[in-house]
Amino acid sequence: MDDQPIITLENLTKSYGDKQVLKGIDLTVMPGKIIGYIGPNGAGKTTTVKILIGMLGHYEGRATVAGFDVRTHSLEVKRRIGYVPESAAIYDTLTPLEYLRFLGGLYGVDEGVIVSRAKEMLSLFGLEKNLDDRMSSFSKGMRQKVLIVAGMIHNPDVLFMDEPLSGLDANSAVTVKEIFARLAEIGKTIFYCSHIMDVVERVCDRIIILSNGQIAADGSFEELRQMNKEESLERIFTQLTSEGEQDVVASQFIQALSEREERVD
Amino acid sequence: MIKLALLIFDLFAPVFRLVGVDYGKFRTILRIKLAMDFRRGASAVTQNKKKKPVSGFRKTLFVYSFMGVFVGLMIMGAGSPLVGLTMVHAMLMVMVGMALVADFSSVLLDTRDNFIILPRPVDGRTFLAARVAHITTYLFLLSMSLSFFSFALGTAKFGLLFVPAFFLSLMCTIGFTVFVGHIFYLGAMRLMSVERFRDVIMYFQIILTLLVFGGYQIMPRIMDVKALQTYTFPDRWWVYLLPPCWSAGIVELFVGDGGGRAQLLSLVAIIVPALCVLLVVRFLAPGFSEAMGRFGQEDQPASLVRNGSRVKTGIFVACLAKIISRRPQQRAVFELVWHLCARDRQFKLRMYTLFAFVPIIGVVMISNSMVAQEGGFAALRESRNYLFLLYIVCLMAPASITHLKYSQQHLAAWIYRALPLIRPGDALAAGIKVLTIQLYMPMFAVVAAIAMGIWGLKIVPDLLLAYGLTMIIIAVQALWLGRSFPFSEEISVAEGSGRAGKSFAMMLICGIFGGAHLALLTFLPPVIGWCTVLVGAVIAFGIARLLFNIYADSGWGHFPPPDMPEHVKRYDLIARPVTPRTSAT
Repeated sequence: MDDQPIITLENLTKSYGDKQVLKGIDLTVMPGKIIGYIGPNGAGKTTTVKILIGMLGHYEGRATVAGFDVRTHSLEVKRRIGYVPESAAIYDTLTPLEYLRFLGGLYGVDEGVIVSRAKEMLSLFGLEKNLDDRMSSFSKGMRQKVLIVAGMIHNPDVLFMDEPLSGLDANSAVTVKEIFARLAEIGKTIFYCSHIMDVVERVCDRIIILSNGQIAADGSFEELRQMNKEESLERIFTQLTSEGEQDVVASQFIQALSEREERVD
Repeated sequence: MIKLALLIFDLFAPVFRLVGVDYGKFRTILRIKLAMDFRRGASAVTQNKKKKPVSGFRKTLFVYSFMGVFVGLMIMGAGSPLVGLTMVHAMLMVMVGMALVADFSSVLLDTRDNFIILPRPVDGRTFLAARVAHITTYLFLLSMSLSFFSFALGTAKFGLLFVPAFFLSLMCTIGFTVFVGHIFYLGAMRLMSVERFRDVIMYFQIILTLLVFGGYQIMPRIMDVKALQTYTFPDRWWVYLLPPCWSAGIVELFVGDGGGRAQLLSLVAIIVPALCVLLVVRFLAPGFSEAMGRFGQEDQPASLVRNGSRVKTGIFVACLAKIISRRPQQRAVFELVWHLCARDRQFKLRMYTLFAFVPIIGVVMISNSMVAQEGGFAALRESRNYLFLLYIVCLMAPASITHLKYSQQHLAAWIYRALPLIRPGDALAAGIKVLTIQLYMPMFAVVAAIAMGIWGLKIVPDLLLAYGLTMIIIAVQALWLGRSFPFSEEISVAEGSGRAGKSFAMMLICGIFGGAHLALLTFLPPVIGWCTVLVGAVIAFGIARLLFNIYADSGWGHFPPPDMPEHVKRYDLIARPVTPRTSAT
């Protein structure tokens, strides 16, 4: 099983109306890896993830997860993956325990297992006092913790994460990153989408930079560094995905500030 | 109630399994959806575990049961069962249809489902079945509470056979209504932009509220109760075109004489909704979910918003702001609040609903006095009933001020505390001024115009006094309510407790004002009376001005750091008001 790829994309294209969002993506991911999937806004990151988790049906090309074609065997795929959406959508009139039991029901996991797992995981995140509180009173960080637990409560083989650290404080973020590393050690695959370059740089085994619906770079951080002769992922990223006009924009920005100094007091 | 509903579905579990639905998952989704319905509207602030907050949905069911009394009376009022039940079903169709349209996008088709249920291993058929079952159960609960009383009355009148008959007819009515609701939604989504469509839904919600709370006031007045007792449907073709009549036919078949017409009507009643449901499931539902998906994408490209008209209103409001105040900060907040009031759908919903009661109360009051005094319109002109009309706005104004402080985006109000506001009263005053210009003045103008149309120019002094007193009421309410920045607090149902007493007191003051006004006109001879009223108006404006100035002069002392939930407490430092550094400059 270990030499079988866990995710494959073959010439994946997707259009919304006349706008082509993905322009032919080819990708093979082996299990036990943390894949950083990065790109500017609108590059097609979320679209790729949505296709891989079976949320979007209309696309061209082929996508498989855990050996199953996403188009034809989406249920098999969904059973083996976890998803943490960027939108932080959650039924917040429920308590975390109710929410997780609900998801457990949908995955068909035994209720006793779900409850004990949920209690333990939430407590480890410091939510042991909030197990029976409605999530509408939760802060963004608390919701994010519930979402992360919800993504792995059924022990999936592949985890798709869209900005999983948003809203978490530094300590929780360190914990979560450590959890990701351990998950990879036991053979789980993590598909990590983010805008925070230094996290991706440190956490991911392999980084894929998406630009305009196409893969602009693919490799470990070391490989990318050697290829592009830049020190940080941030520099590599801007070099590959923009015209390098950031300096100009910044100075124009400051200029705008000093143009007409008027005060209404 | 949820358990009962699930139990009923459990009976049909084999049927669901037969058509390929994963019943376990179906049940899981349905259970959580219903549980959420019953929690909706109950605020998170009252997380008191002992005191269970009454949810919005439970409240709705209760109000509907109350309305159901009036629906049920139709059965008793009408002579022939067919006529009475046609009325009942017509009302059910209107109410359920309205509820369907009003709640569909917010409750029944939750866009969060896309992110929560879609990525989980649930097949499309199970999910669709759960969705349909949820809608059906929701509407069934609504219509059951509406028709509970009809069941009781009908059984008393027609015997036990009425129960299954009415139940069956209820099912047909719901099926047909769901169909019509779907068609409405589909048509509207094809023809309108998402924004426009949301507005339309808002108007539906307003009409629904009016029907619920105003319907039973108006209905008996516009209907000739005596004629109803003897009326029977003529044996004509158009009877077969009235959908409520079909369902009524079923009941007639069971408990009435069961003639040929009842048989034919029952046949139509069963076939048409069945066909409709089939049509919905087969042809309309697939495209429907996709179209609803558009609602999930909240942010439409900015270019789609009508830019031209926004620019023009912007200039208009800026000019208005210059007129209402000399203070730049007050002008700025005025512009902000003006746009928020005009665009915040939730606020508009609450305001329009509130003020839509003005005409209802007006009609009720005038028609009451018409009935009470013999002589009709001429007698009305001689009376002083216009005072009732003039004080309706006065009655509604305090509640609108209460609403001004609530918003779903209450967190955005941090700006008031972060900006160097010299006098926070400016923000408060700006809010009241916006309400005055956007709501009170137009409302009062309309009421005044109608009153002048009926009673003539002689009531002008009364108009002035009434308006002056209304301004006092507004100022008193604003001062009394406690000072809150516009749109700065979370909407909570729990707020009710202390407020009921206050709003009752406000009504009392309003009544005293109106009574005093009436006394002036009644006990003083005409000319002296008018002069006194005029003088009173001047004094009233003066007092209102004075009170308003106190309000506008509120300093930071009135704004202690907000009582924040535990987890945001550490941001206290940021949220603390900035004290003006007047001495430095």
